Amino acid sequence: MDTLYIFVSGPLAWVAFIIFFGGSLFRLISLIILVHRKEKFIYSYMSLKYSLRSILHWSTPFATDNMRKHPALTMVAFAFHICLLLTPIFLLAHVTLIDESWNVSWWTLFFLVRRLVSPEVNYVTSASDYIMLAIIAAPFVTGFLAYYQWFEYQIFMLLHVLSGEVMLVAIPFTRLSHMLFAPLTRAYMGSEFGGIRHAKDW
Amino acid sequence: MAETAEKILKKILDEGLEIGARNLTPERIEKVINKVLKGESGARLKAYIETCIHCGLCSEACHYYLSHDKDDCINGMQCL
Repeated sequence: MDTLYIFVSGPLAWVAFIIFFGGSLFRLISLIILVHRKEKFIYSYMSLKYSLRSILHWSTPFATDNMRKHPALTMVAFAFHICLLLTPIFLLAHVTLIDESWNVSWWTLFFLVRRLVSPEVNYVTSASDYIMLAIIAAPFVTGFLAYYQWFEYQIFMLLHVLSGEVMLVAIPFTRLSHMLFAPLTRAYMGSEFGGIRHAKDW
Repeated sequence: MAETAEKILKKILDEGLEIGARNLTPERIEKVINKVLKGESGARLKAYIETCIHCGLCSEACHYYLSHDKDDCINGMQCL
């Protein structure tokens, strides 16, 4: 058990982070190269002012029409993303946890139910969507269980580190890459709608 | 006269779309999408398709979905 833990928290962690940073860089550069090759006009479209305008609006709860039409989804999606970002960062900095940790695993339940229940979401859903939810929830569930030591601590610490590494490696190569691309696609949308069409994109 | 007007919801059908949709298969959709991605489109479409998280909110912008009284989804959604 100890050697396994040393492995996952040592060399495997290095591998995971290298793949995450390297892979993300690769995806970003590939995107820029594709833009350069096929859609050069995008350079002339991009504008900092309109990019920021759009990004700010879509980063603010209920600042857009669509968010107002789906209040529950909006609230959960914002809570989910905030917890998703805060938990790893602030846990890495200090191992002390706040007693009530509203972590990602609870919000993920909402997304799971929504995917099962809502007809138009269900229609576009396939196995990969459930796997995606599992990959995201796993580090948080295992971390929660490890911290509270409900079950065998060592096994859950191992699973926690492993599932975190799986998530890291999944980010550059699956839809989770929207973490990298969303600011860019949103900036483009803002620039095209604001600067070229002179309209709002929210 | 005092009766409340009943909203008659009916499906607005487009023959061309219906017949075309019936001929769609996942393989055919995949082939066409790949052709477009490789050919005329570029980084933007690729980025949108790859980051699509299947949230289903686009259904409300789909004319087929709306004209079928939010009851049906065109097979084209399978391009995801």
